[in-house]
Parts: sequence; structure tokens; C-alpha cells
Amino acid sequence: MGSWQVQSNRWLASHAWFLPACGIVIVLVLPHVALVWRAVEAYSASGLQLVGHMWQLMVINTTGLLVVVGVATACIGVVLAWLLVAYTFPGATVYRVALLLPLAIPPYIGAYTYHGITQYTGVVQTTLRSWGIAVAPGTLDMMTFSGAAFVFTVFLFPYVYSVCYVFLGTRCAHVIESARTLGVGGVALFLRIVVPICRLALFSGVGVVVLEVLNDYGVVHYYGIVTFTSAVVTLWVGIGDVSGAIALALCGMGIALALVFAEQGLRGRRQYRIAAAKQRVLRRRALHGWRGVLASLACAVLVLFGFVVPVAQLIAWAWQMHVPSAWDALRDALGHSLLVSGCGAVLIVVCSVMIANAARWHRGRVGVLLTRCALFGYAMPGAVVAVGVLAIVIPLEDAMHDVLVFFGADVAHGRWLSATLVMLVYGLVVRYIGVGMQAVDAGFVRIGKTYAEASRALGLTVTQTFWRVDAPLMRRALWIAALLCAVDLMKELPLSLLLQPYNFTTLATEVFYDVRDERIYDAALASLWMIVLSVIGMLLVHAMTRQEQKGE
Amino acid sequence: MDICVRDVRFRYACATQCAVSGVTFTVRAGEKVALVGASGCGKSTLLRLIAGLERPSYGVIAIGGHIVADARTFVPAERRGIGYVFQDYALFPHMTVAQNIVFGLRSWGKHQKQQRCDELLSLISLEAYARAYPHELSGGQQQRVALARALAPQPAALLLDEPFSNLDAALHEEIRAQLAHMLSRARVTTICVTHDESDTIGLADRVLHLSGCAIVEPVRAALHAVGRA
Repeated sequence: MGSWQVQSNRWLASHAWFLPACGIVIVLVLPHVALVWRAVEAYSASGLQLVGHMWQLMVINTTGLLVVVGVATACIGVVLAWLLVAYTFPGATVYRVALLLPLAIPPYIGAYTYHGITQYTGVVQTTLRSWGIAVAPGTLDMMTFSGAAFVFTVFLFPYVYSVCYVFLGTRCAHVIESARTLGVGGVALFLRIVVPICRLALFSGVGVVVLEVLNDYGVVHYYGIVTFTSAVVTLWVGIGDVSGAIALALCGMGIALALVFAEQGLRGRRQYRIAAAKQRVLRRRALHGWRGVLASLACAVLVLFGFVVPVAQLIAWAWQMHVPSAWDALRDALGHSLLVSGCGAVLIVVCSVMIANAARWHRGRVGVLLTRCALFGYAMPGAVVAVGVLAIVIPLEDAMHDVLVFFGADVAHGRWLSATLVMLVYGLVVRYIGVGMQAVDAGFVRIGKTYAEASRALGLTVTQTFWRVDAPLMRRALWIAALLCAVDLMKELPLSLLLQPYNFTTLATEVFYDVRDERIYDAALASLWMIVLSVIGMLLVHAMTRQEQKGE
Repeated sequence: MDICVRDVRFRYACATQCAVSGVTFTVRAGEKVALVGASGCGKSTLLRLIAGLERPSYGVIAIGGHIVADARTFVPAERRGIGYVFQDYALFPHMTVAQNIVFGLRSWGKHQKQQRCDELLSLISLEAYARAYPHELSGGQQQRVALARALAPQPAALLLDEPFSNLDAALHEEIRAQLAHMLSRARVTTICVTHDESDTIGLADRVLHLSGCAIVEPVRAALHAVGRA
């Protein structure tokens, strides 16, 4: 008896991280399972018919946007990263950070800002008319496929740029130098060495861009472009066709998975990971004369279009807003945003730490499976995750009600999950745990396992080791993870639109409703708040990441 | 071609001390020289300066009678025509062994490239691995490919940075003998950097000691002379 108890205690202690981690992963995967389950169960002809009508347009628009934006951001991102890693030119130090700023502006805010700038009453056309130049209607129309592609490219390219910049800057110096000693430089070096070795970084950056485009609802809704996500939301909210939305969401799952696996198939036997004995930073060369001016101009154009121009327009609009009635709504939305993204970020970091630490001590397939399953949500468009969450939460509520009634409790059928923040935060955690997991995992990789193993050899359990050794060493990595998540959660739109309780708006959804009702000036102020908070978050992350790199 | 280094000094940006301060030596055409010194004394930096990967802050470097670096001129690495074998080999991970070897032969015809590649593969005895990727080879094999790649464009000189640091100690002797054999067949001016003087036996005609970042004192390695007599 006694020995059994000791044994079971020991078993529990050794699985103190593993079992909760499994529980978390199951809860995170449930919405996806529910989605598949419901799609198999319910099969509505009307929904499929409707999808059939939109099918062609939807497929063409979605794939078109993915390809155009993917290629454009890849080209811009890798060229800029190479210019800034390998050369110095006027303003290069500023551009290294400034080129990240477009990420602070969610594409849907950029979309309505650019429409405002280029429309008939916008600043461009009015100025041209005042100079006596008449613009034919339609020439400057942003609300087209190419307009949407422009907006996505200009606001999403930093994802590619930042990944390639870090990769080229820290791991490739020897390979590039050895190409130079073999007589290859300039453009040939870029095309034959830099682009191929960047491939992995390029794919992960473009992967994020593609997922963001697939995830977007604001831009395509405002510009009236039928895409995959807009169809899901229209079916669900507009028509109330649950099974149609589920069927479509399932297709989305398929697309996302196909994209993830396609790259692995293309890679074949080649390897892109570079093992360097010493990681040396590439010596930068100076670009003189017209080359330097050209490089500087290229960066300036992207910073202008991706940040300065839209922010200037938003400030101008906010300046013109005289109605104080909007202040209350704005204040509420700001509070809600901070609350939701704060809670969500903390929950994500806690879950990520649980899963990552459990996987760290449970090597082998189970550990890998845990992390993979948790990352699943990040590949899914927000609308798909939202539909999955609804598919699990609403039956759960019904079942709970039935159980209570069965036991004789006299309760009204309350929406105690779907009418509260629980469902929204749950959806956000499912969708964005990937962001937190990546940052937390990077932290674990950075500190390595030796310290923790030394601590366990000295008799501390995994939990004691975590609090006494890992957590203090990981402090900065955990902050980075939380901030990254908070910024992403604040900008999130489609999932929040579908899952937020009634009479509850965040900054993102407030902007969406304002723009939908053509209250551009009100939207401007909310947008500016969001941009300011994002910029602060991003700059903090940037500073902390640099400290972390220097601390090595 | 001979390599002439005159009073070369170099300091890394943000470093307070010179990595190389006032080094002078000459390597005659076809000679094989070993640079020996404690780690951190600027041996590798000296090689990077000769290869054109860094620009000296003072002094003159001449290759084959042409000045490649002084106060006014600086010929960058891609136009110096010097072979460099990196400490970690730096083989291009996305190219096969054959593609790696012909990488530097840009203006050559297809047939010539193939011929040169075959020649070098037989020199390094890796004929069977032409289509392998670098990560599929052992450390010693990777080093031989790096050597072949550096030799392929028939460089004016060959620089080897710590050729034995990444290899298994058990293979050490064997690989050193192979390397010495291949270098003697290649007949090219060679500078080899190492921290262990015993590594230079059979590899170098002459050993130069680099100490305290300063002066290279030429030491007649009587040992080697005796060994070859």
C-alpha cells in the first residue's frame, strides 16, 4: 500500500507537466475536431448550392491574391533584407527599424485609408483638380483586385523582410564570403547564393503573409472582393447557413494544410540549414554614388507607402473630428481591447510554457505531436477557427443546460459561454498560440538544456527547476512572447467579429463598424490608437530581442 | 604567385586593440607556408585580409607584384582570385558536390567545367559523390570538397583556415597526409593557418610564428628540411 502510494506520487510528479499539457492541447484542438465532425454530420444542399454560385469567383480571387501578394512580398522582402544586411547607404540605420513599422497598421485600416486618399474627394484628386488636371473616373480606383493586392503587399512585406534579415545577418556570412573568394559578387551573388540559401526563411516569411491574406476579412469586405474568408463570414453571419459555412471552413483547412506540406515536398534532399562553427556577422560594404541613392530611395518609398502616408491621412482625419459623442465608444473599445489582448496574451504564454516545457522533457514522438497539434490553429484563418469554436461551445452549453434540467434544476437557458468573453478569448488563444509557442520555444532553445539538467541532477523536480532555473533565464523571452501575442490579438478582426459578445467592441471591430457605416473620422481615431499601441509593442519587442542577442 | 605583406595593421570596428598590428612577410611563388600562433593572435584575420574579406587599416598587400590593398586601392575578394578554405568549409548547402566545385568557373564552357570537375574529383578521390549534397558527407569529405572548390578556378594562391579544427582526432594523421599529398599535386602557393605546430609537418616548407598580434618571425624549420632530405 505504502509503496504503491509512493509510486503513484512519483508518477504524478514526473507527469506534472505532461498531463496538463495534454489537456491544454486537447482543448485547443477541439474546435478543429468539432468542425470536421459537424461537417460530416450536417450536410445542407442550400449552403453548397450557394457556395457553388460563388465558387469560381472565390477561388480565382483567393488564389490570385495569395500568388500576387506572396510573390511581391517575397521579392521586396528578400531584396531589402540583402541591401540592409550587406551594405551601408544613407539612412540605412533608420530603415533597419523603420521598415518594420508597416506591421503596426492592420491591412484593413490601410485599405480604407488608401481608398480615402485616392477617391474623388480625397487629397490626391482634389490637389490634381486644383492644378487643373482632371482624372478620369476609375483610373485611381483602389477598390479593385490590384488595389487590394497593393494594400496587402505594402503592409505585409515586413514579415518576409524581418525573417530574411535575421537569417542573412546571423547565419550566412561564411557562405557569402566563400562565394566572393570564388569571384562571384553583386547581382550574381544575390541570385545564385543569397536567394537559394534564404529559401527556408523566405518560405516561413511568405507563409505568414499567405496566412494573413487568407485570414483577412476587413480589406476584402470593404473592397467588395469575394474571397474564401468573406464567403465564410457571409454564409455564417449574413445568411445564417451554418453547415454551408462549416463546409467552406473545412475547405479552408484543406488549403492551409496543403500550403504547409507543399514546401516540405519541394525541398527534397537539399538542405538549407547552415551549420557554422562560428557565427560571424557579415562585414557591410558602402554603396556610393547613385547606387546608394537608389537603395535609400527604395527603402524610403516603402516606409512612406507602408507607414507615413496612411498615418498622416489618419491624423488629418482625426484632427477634423469634432463630434465628442464618439469618445465614449472609443474609450470603451480601448478598454475592451486592452482587456482582451492582455488576458489572451497571458493565457497564451502560460499554455505555451506548459506545452513547450512538457515537450522539452518528453523527447520523441509524443513531444513533437504536442507542439504540432498546438500550432495547428495558426495555419487556420480566423473565421474558420471561429466557426469551429462556435461548433463546440454552443452544443456544450445546450448539453450543460440539459444536464442541469435533468437533475431538476430550474434554470433558464443561459448563454454563459457564448455571451461572455470566455468564448472570444478561447478562440483567440486557439488561433494565436502558435505565435506564443514560437517565441517561448526560441527562449528554451536559447538557454539550452544543460542548466536545467544540472538542476535536476542536483535533485530538483521539473517544476522546481522551472521556477528556480528556467523562468529567471527565460524572463525576457516570456515578455517578448506576451507582447507579440498582445499586438496580434489587438489587430485581429474576423474572429473577434464572429465571437465577441453583444454590445462589446474592441478597437479592431470598432474600426470595422465605423468604416462600414462610413464614419471615417471616428474610425481614424480608433485606428490611430491601435497603431500607437502596436508601435509601442513592436519597439519594445525589437529592443528586447536585441538585448537578448547581445546578452549571449 | 608570390604574396607580399608589408606592415599590415587591422582593427575590428568597436574593438580597442588591433587584431593585427604591423605584420610583414613574403611568400614566394609555389611556396607552402604555415602560420602558427596561439588562438586569438590574429592568424585568421590575416588570412581574411589577404583574401580581401577585410580591408587593412594600414599597410600594403601585394599579390604577384600587383598591389591589392593599400591606403588608396582595395581589390574586393571577388576580384582577387584567391582560393580560401573556410574553417567550417562553408559549402553551399543547396548545391551538390559537383555544383559546388564548378561554382567559381563562371566564364568556362560547359565541357571545360565538366572536365575540370572530374579532374578535381579524382584529385580528392570523391568521384562517386558528385551528386551528393554537402550534409550527406563526412567532415573529412566536406573538407576535401571545399579544397577542390577553392582550387577549381586555378587561384593565384590558396589560403587554409585551421584545416584540422573540425575533424576527428582519430582521422587527424590520415587527413593531414591526404591534404599534404593533394597540395603537392596542386602546386599552388599556399598559406595554412593553424594553432598546433605539429600539424604543419609535411604540409609546409616554412613555418612562420605569429605572436602578440605583431611581428612574424621567419623560422627555418630544420625539422622539415631534415624530414624531406
